[in-house]
Amino acid sequence: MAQKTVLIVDDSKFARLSLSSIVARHFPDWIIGEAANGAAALCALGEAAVDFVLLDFNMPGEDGLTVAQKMRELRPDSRIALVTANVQDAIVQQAHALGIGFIPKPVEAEMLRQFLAAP
Amino acid sequence: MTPGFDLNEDDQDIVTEVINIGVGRAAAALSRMIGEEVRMVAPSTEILSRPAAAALLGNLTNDKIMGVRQEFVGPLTGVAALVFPEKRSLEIVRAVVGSDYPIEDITELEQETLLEIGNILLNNCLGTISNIFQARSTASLPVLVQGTAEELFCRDTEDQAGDGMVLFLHIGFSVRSRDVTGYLTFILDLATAEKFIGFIHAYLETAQKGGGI
Repeated sequence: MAQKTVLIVDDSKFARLSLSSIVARHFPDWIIGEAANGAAALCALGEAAVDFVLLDFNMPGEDGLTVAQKMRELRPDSRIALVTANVQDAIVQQAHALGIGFIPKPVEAEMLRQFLAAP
Repeated sequence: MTPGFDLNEDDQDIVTEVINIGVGRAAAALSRMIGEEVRMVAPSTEILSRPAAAALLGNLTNDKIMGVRQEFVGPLTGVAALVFPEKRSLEIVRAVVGSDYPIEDITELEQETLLEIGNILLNNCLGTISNIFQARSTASLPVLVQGTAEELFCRDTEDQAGDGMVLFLHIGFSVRSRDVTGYLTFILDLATAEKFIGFIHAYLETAQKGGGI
């Protein structure tokens, strides 16, 4: 598979490590970037496009859905998934309405792999 | 503090993440019960004396409390409680049973409904955390607590060195239309907190291998 880029956005260092380890295990050649909040993520996306964004919901500053909306405008081709412990139906529905993926925490490695492997 | 007990920044980060996942499930359960989104605040983790933890919760609720308390044995061994300011607790019951229920019947139902809400939320939270660690938790029956935060934490704990240091975890959540803020709290004495940190370290190792859960 071609080399792709993934941006991981989560305020938890552990969550970033856990997600990047799953990505690295399944897609060893891919380039992984990290951001600890929405503002930093939008700044990174302003500089360069990425193929995938894995986005937490509950973060300091703007929440993941607000950030996803801005990302959509900035980089409409990036595929975004909300990766969150906030598994309420309302959040899942809002993610679907925005046309982004939803991956509940704790993350099943296989579910994340499928999201990244989808054509 | 127990010799050797340490909660460094990285440990704290993982504890927060694990608690977030547990509380996320509990919030989803509550949200389904009331048909409304529940807002969560980031969890706090502190090592405090029992009275200081009670004072902190007392400040947060700014009132006498009404809550449900359960004792757990598993990765998290200690006391877990769902707590509301006493004056607002009826609102959460009303949100669950529906607004068209006659008020006098609700008062009668209040305690049983609160017990059940507590039971569902606390077990969702602790059960999810146990699953993360692929371990099992057992819980005592939920007990209703009404009074001060001190009574919640210090009652029945004389045999556990009631004035010793504890690991105190708490997370706030709110239901906007009802103007209610509640708290999920966990109190672990340091010996059992060390066991919990052991689970945390094993979980970190799995995550580093890209194993996910």
